[in-house]
Amino acid sequence: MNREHNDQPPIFPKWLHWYIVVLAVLVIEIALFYLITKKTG
Amino acid sequence: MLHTADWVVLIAALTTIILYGLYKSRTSRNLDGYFRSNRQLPWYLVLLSIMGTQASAITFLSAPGQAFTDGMRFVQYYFGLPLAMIVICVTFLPLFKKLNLFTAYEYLETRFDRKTRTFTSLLFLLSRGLSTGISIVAPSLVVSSILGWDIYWTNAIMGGLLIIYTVTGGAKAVAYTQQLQFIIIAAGMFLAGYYAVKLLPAGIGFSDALSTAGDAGRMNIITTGINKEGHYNWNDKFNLISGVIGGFFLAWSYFGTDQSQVGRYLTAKSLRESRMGLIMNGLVKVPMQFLILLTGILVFAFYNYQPGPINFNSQVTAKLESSPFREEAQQVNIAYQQKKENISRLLQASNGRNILPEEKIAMKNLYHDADSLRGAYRTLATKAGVKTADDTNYIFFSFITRHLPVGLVGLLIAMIFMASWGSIAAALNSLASATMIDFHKQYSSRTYTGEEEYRISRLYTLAWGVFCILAAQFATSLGSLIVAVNVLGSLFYGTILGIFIVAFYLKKIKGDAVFFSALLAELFVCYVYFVLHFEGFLWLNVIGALLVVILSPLMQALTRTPVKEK
Repeated sequence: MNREHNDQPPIFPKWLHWYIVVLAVLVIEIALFYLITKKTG
Repeated sequence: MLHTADWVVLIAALTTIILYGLYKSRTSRNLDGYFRSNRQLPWYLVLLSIMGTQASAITFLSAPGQAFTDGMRFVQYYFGLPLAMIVICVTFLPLFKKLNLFTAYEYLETRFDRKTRTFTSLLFLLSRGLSTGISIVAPSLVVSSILGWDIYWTNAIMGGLLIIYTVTGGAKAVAYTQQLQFIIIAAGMFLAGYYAVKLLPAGIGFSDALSTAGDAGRMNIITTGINKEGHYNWNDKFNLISGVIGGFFLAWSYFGTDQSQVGRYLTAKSLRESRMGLIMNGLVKVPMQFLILLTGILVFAFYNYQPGPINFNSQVTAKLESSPFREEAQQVNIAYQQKKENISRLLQASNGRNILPEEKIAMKNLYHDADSLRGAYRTLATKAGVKTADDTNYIFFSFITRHLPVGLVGLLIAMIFMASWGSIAAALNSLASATMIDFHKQYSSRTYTGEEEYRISRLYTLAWGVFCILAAQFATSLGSLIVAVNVLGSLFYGTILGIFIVAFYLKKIKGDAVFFSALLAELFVCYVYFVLHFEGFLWLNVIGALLVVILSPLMQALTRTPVKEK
C-alpha cells in the first residue's frame, strides 16, 4: 500500500490508542473542572 | 482616543502582517500552489492555521465577556471536539488525501452525483459567505463604538487590508500569516490576564479572584442541564451533555466538511502531518478556551473591587439618557452601583480571613441583585429602542481600553484585528476554492491553463472579499450579530455532515436519495429553529445529520434505484 494512504496513526501503533488518550484527557479535564466548580461554587 | 504609542504599536503590527504575508506570497502560479500551498506545510503550521481559522475576533472579544456575564460553562461547547478530530483522522482525511481533492465536495460527485456536490457546496458558500460578513462587522461594531471610529472605515480595514496578501499569496500566505498572528494573539491574551490580576487590590490574589467569581456563580464550568425536577432542559445552550454530543457533531461537521477547515489541512505535506495538526488541535482546544474564559473571570473579579458601568456599551447608556426611560434607568444604575459598593466593602472586610457563612450568603444575594439590575437596565434599553442591549462583547475590550497601560492597548487592538484577519483570510481562500473548483471548472466548457486558473482564482478571492465587506456594511444595522454567527453554522452543518456520513458509511445509497433527504432535512432544521424557536442550537447539528442518515435509506427504497455493483 502507498505510504501516503495508509492507516498508520502518528506516534502510536493503533488508532485505538489515540481514542483512549483523547478520551482519557477529556475525562481528566472534566473531572478537574468539576472539582474547581465544586470548590469555588 | 488612542495614545500615539498605541497607534504606533497598532500600525506596526498590521503593517508587519501585510508585509510578511506579501513576502510569503511567492507560490506556484497554479491551483495546487494557490489553494493547497503545493502540499508542503509541516503539522505545526497546519495546527496554527486550523486554530487561527476557527478563532475569529469574536472568540477573543466574546468569550471573556461570556465568562463575565454567564460564567465558565461555555467551555463545555468544546468537549465533543477532541473525539471528532480522531474520527476525521481515521475516516474523512485518508480519503480526501487519496483522491487528491481540492475541496471536500469534489468527493460527493465521485460518490453520488454532480447535483449533490453542487447543493452541498452551495450550502457551504451560503453559510460561510454570510458568516464571514458577520465576523467582519461584529468586532468592528465593538471597536468603533468604544474608540469612536467610523463603522464603515473600521469594516473596510477589518475585512479589507488582509485581501492584499490573501489575493496575492493564497493558502500559503494565509498559513504563514496565521503563525505570526497567533504569536501576537497569545501574547495579548496573556498580558490581559496578567494585568487583570495585577490590578487587583493589594493582598487579593488569583485564588481570591476565583473564589469571588465562584460566589457569583461564574465558576459553573461543569453543568448537567438537568433541572431540580430531574428533567433535561433541551433549550439550555451549554451543558455537559449537549457539549459532548452536540459539540461532537458540530466539530465533526465543521472540521470534516467545511472547506475553510478542510482547505487548511489539505495543505500539509503528508497524511501524517495533516493528522498531527488535527490531533493536536483536539488536545489543545479545551485548555485554550478555558484560559480565554478565565481571563473574563479575572476581569469580573477586578470589577468587584473597582467601580464599573452597569452596561459596557456606552451607546446603550447614551440612548437611554435621551429616552423617556431616563429617570428609571438612572434609578436602576444608582441601585446597581450601591450593590457593587456593598460587594467591594464586604470583600475588603473579609480579606485575610475565612469568609463567614452569613457573609457568603449576603455576598451571593448581592451578586444576584446586581445581575438582576443589569438585566433590568437591558430591558429598559430594549424598550427605548436599542437593538442589542446585551453588552457581552463590549466588556473585555472596554476593560482593555480603560485599564491597561499605554502601548499594550495598541497591542490588544492589534490582537483583535489579527484574530479577525486569520479567520477571514482562510474563509476567503476557501470560498474562492469552492467557487473555482465546484462551480467554475464544473460548469465552464473552456479548458484553462494552470496560469489562467490561478488568475481566475485570485479574482474570485478578491470578489468574495468585496462581497464580505459589502455584506458587513449592510449588517451594521442588523440586531444580534454574535448569536447569528453561532447559529448560522448549526443551521447548515448537520445536513452537510449527514450527506458525508451517508457517503462514507451507507454504501448502497445513491445520489437522488441523499439529495432529496438533505433537502428535507435542511427544511426541517430551518422549521425547528425559525418556526418552533428552538434555542438549544447545538442540537440542530444532531437533528440535521441524523435526519439525512435516517431518511436516505427510506428515500432509496421509495425511489427503487437499482443497486449496481461498483
